Amino acid sequence: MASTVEQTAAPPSAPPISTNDLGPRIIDALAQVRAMTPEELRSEINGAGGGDCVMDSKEAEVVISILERHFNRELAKVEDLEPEQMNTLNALRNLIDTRLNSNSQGQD
Amino acid sequence: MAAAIFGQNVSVAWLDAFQFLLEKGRDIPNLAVTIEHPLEENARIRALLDRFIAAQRSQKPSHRVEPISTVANTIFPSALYLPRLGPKASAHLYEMSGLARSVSRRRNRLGTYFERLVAWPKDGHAVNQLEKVVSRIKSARARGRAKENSLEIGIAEPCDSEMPNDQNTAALPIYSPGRDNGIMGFPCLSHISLSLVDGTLHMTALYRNHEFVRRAYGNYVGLGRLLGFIANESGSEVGELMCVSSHADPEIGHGSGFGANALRRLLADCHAARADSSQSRGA
Repeated sequence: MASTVEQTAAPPSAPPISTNDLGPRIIDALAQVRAMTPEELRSEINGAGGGDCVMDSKEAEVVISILERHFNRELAKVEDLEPEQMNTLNALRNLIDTRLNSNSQGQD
Repeated sequence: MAAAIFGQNVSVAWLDAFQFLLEKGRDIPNLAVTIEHPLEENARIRALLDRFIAAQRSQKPSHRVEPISTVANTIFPSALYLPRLGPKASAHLYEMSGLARSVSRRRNRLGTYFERLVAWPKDGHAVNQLEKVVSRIKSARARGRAKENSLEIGIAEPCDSEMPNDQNTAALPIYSPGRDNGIMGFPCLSHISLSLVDGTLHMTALYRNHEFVRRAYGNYVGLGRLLGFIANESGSEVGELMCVSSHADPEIGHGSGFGANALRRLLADCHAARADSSQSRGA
């Protein structure tokens, strides 16, 4: 008979994602959506954007999708996908960060 | 019973239709709204409706009111269409919208209108109706077919291959028989028809049910952008948009509605903004 631990064991978890890794990945993904280079986007963000940039919710959905494929895990649940929660680059980063943290706490 | 409203831009057409409905004080059948310049808005009226919707979202989350931009995105996600990419712009749009689908499906379980346009479910395959429509209009223009030649199309099959190539009309069905069985809800937009007249592309859209606070304005914006996309990709001029609501609802009722007083205040504010805009233009 299988042990209880074996029956309830979670599937092998994907490697952890650090906040340091997440930021550049989001910029890479948004640059892909906007058909520009990450350097061009960074320049926009650091210049006129003052460190952030406004995003359309549809752009945010594509960014989430690209990141989910890259990290091989779900990064946003239905309740996360309210337009106000992903209308800027920083808001989207916070959203994903929060979900990652809550997921890792749940796994603990 | 039927009524026809004509407006120069999205905001004015919506405002006049909304006023008509509020004066009636109830839902009506067969409301036709024609927008002469469907890519233009009055920024002040838009801002007032945006603010009203934001307040509703904050105060009554259970009402499920979406921002205008979100509603418009369900018909055409304009942020993903980059005309500067030239001939690659439509491929980029289709690729990016395809990527978004796995995420947007979490909120829109049955998909979006745009998904029906680019991935119509037929015989287990996904048909890109938009691509076919653009191709047909391009082909018509290349053969010099830019004269008045509007024909009725009443068949709910996307871009039927037996349709003669010399017809300067095209249909984009949304409603999927046998699959969309809900009495209310998605899809309220049933059908889109296009006519090319003298090199200008016109659109007619049919809604089986239209909520005038939650949806109508965002629908007009999204349809206008969709028309703009098809016209741009096919080398046509943007014509007028006519939107026929088989059932138009002012959403007054206190259940899921917004209340007559709140809507009258919104209407008055929008009219004041319209008057101010007219004076500014005249000055």
